[in-house]
Amino acid sequence: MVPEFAVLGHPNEGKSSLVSTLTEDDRIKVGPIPGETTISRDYIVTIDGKDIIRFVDTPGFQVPRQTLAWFKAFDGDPDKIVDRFIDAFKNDPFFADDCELLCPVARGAGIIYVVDGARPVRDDDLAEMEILRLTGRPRMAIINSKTDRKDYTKDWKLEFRKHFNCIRVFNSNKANFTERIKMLESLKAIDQDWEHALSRVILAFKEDWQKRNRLVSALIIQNIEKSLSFSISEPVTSSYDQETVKEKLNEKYQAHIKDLENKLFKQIRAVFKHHLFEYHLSEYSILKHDLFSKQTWEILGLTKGQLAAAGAIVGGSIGAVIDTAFAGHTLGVFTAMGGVLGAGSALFGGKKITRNKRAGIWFGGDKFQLGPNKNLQFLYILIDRALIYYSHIINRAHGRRDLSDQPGSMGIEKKGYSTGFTASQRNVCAKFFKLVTGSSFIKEKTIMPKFEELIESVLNDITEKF
Amino acid sequence: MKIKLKDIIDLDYFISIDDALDSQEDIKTRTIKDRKIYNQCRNKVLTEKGLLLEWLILRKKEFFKKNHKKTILLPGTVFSILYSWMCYIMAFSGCTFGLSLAYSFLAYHGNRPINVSIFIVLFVVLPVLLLVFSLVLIARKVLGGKKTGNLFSNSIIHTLISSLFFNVLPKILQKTRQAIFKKSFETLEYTLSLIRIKSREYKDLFFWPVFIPASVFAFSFSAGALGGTFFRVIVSDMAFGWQSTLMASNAGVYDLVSFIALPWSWFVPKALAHPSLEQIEGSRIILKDGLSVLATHDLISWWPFICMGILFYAVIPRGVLIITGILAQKHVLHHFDFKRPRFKQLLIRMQSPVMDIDADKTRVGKAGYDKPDKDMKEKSSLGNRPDVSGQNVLLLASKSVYSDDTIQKIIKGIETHLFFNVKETLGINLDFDDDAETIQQINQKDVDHVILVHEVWQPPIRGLVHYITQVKAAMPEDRPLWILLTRDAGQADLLVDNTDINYDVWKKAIFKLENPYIVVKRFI
Repeated sequence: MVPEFAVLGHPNEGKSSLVSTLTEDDRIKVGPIPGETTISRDYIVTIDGKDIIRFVDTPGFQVPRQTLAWFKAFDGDPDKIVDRFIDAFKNDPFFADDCELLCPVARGAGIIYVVDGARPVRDDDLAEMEILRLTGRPRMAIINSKTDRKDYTKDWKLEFRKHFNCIRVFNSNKANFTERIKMLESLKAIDQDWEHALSRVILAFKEDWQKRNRLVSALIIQNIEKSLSFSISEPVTSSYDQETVKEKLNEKYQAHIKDLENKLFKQIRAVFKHHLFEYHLSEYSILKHDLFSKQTWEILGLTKGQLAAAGAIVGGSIGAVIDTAFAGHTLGVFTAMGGVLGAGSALFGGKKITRNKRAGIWFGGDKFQLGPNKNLQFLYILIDRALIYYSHIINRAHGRRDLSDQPGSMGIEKKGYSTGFTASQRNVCAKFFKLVTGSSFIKEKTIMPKFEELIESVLNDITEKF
Repeated sequence: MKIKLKDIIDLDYFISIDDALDSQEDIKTRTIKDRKIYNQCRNKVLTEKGLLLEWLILRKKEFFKKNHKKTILLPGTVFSILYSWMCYIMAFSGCTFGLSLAYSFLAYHGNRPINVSIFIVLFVVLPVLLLVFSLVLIARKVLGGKKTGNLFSNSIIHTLISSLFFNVLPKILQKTRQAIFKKSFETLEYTLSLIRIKSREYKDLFFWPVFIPASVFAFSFSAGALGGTFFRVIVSDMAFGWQSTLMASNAGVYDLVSFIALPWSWFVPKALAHPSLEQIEGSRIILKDGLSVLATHDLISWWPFICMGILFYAVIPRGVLIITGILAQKHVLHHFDFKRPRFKQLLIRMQSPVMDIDADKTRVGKAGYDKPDKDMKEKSSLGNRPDVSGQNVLLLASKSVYSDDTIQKIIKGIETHLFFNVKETLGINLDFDDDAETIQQINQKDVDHVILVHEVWQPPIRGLVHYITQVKAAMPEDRPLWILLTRDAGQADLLVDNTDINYDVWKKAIFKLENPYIVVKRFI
């Protein structure tokens, strides 16, 4: 039997937001106006097409005192109290919402009672708690702090201890995977009968998360591979301004790499079921900055020392790369373009080729080529940006509807994940870089799985860290 | 002093502007200005209505001075213009329809007389039926009952006229960007929203402005039909006849015609009042006998009767209805209740002295700036507070939510901003059964207003709104019940922002109660 939980509470306490976070469904209507939910809706979590858990989003209590008065006066079979209440008032518009919200309880659903911890306990809340106690159903109370303005958690806990089997503080606007799992673990405690079913649910959730990380890892690697190996070329004629061609190529190159990154972000978003049309990042987020901006290259990637050490593995031109990467004000952005701006990178090359053209205006000429990027730092920039995006996504609760992320401080110190890589991890990265850019003479077969393993482990670390 | 509907609309507009003031500074400035207005006109105006009108005149002056653009129209003027246009449109369209319908109906080509029965049904009987329907509506309206408004609101005519008046016409104006409204789109919007939102609150006021254009249309239609008929009779050769399978007796038709002609037959020459028995007999069309047997003088004998019918059964009664509507509108305006809380608070604000404690900036130093004046402190203390407006208030507050200190803070706020004198405070549980005794006491207390304090963030759930309705029902009908909304009672600052979404939710919930004597106010 699929465990079913009805999310109940006073209007505007964040019930829909909680269901949205628990079911990872950001399409559930969540708003600041109380009473937006007028009918109960079931949200089922399925894995491999199998229903594993069901949450019911319900309207808020509208007449708790009147309902409690009826419950108190009821002298029939206590097990049937909810059914009798619904029978008595199902056609009375005054009790419409209260009947509606109690319907899943009558069906046998467990109760998750949600309150906003930022507001004090009032008599209506006490009436609601008492109603739920009288239903006799297994129940859990959740303190959902919607704002950080005021905290009445202590008062709520005091009252909850009198009426509920289990209490949890759960912020539906901030809760991530780990907190969701903890919440499900707590649900096991409210009724022993559900323990087994919920254990299976938790296992399924964990396995699914692992699967998502593996998928994201593959997507990131695929994107990096494409970005690093990408090259673009354009023929030049003597009559044509060479600088214009270079500029045009550079624009095309950057646009393509950015496009690849955007596609990756979209895929990561889809894996974690964020369906909001636009995912808005904070103004302060490094991802708001252009992939090729000076600031991005200052903040992300390896430090100068780390890069120098890594360069030994890549060999060859890396010394020159480091020199140009940190010379004067040009820094990353120009390094990435390398040859375009004449910084001496191997990015650009003039190559004489033979071309045939049917019209016969010319049969040969020079061709400018941009890429593949030989700058090792570029790899780390791509890794860092993908990982930062991943951490944004997994920590973005589905119940949250505001658009921006929390502002973070912006400084010139390194903010990416790659600076935290161990020497052996950097070694794997450098070898992967050589492999992908084609600068490796001996193809090391094991390097790709090692790099995959590295990215996956970093993703798992990020998940556990939060 | 005569008051017009446009004045009430403008009054409502300015009060809404004042209600929306948010900063303490702005509220204080407004209060001082209102007081100043009162001091200016207190000697020449004696009634509250006169005071409000005087306030309105001065506010209008202030408004135009502030905007430096006299081309901006106030909502009242926007309404008047719309209303005039509406009446013209109704008159023109009614006249055109009536005239063209009658003219085309009376097309006679010499081969067959016009069937007088059908003409009468269309231009006399139908208007009479509509007239009876209108009279029934008016009767229900006059006899009272809350459902009357709904009945009228739901009628097809009302819906059509309302939508034309309040939706279609303004939209056209907005789209065409009429020069006259170019700078007044804000007030045009306000006028429309006022009518949409407050038509329930001001339903008596907006009943007749919709009824009158409808009657103007009906009047113009019948007058147009009469004109069209006359025109046809004058400029063309007409012939009227009647035919029926059922009514075989000519005498029966004569009796019916004589009965219909009763309103005018007593003073109009008999030959013109209605056709004689012979003429009726002579104008009967029997298709098998052919039309050539019918005499011309019998066939033309019907037109005075038809014209009189339209005049007496359609034009005159509709004209009377228009006059009745205008008089009724004047009556409603004359008896408009300016004591309702929306206006009352302005009156109280004007009539009460402005109490304020501010540091004396000229006395900076040990004796002045740092230490409040002892006398002033005493004056402002709750124990010795003066009767600020003579309006006594009973304060209801939840015992479990508001502490004594908080209550004192609220009382001070009520006195400062609402200018009421809080006579007594009663603790409630927000449960009608638990509070039965307290509610009974409310009725017995000699107070002018009752204020129920509540936290704004607590949503107005059905149970709570029901409680408020029950409390109001237990009070005298014209005694206002104020719902004063504060922030979380545990916080030092109880002030509620005008932009607070919860405040909006409360306003909407109370508005739905359709009781102008229940007012929502935020604590400022």
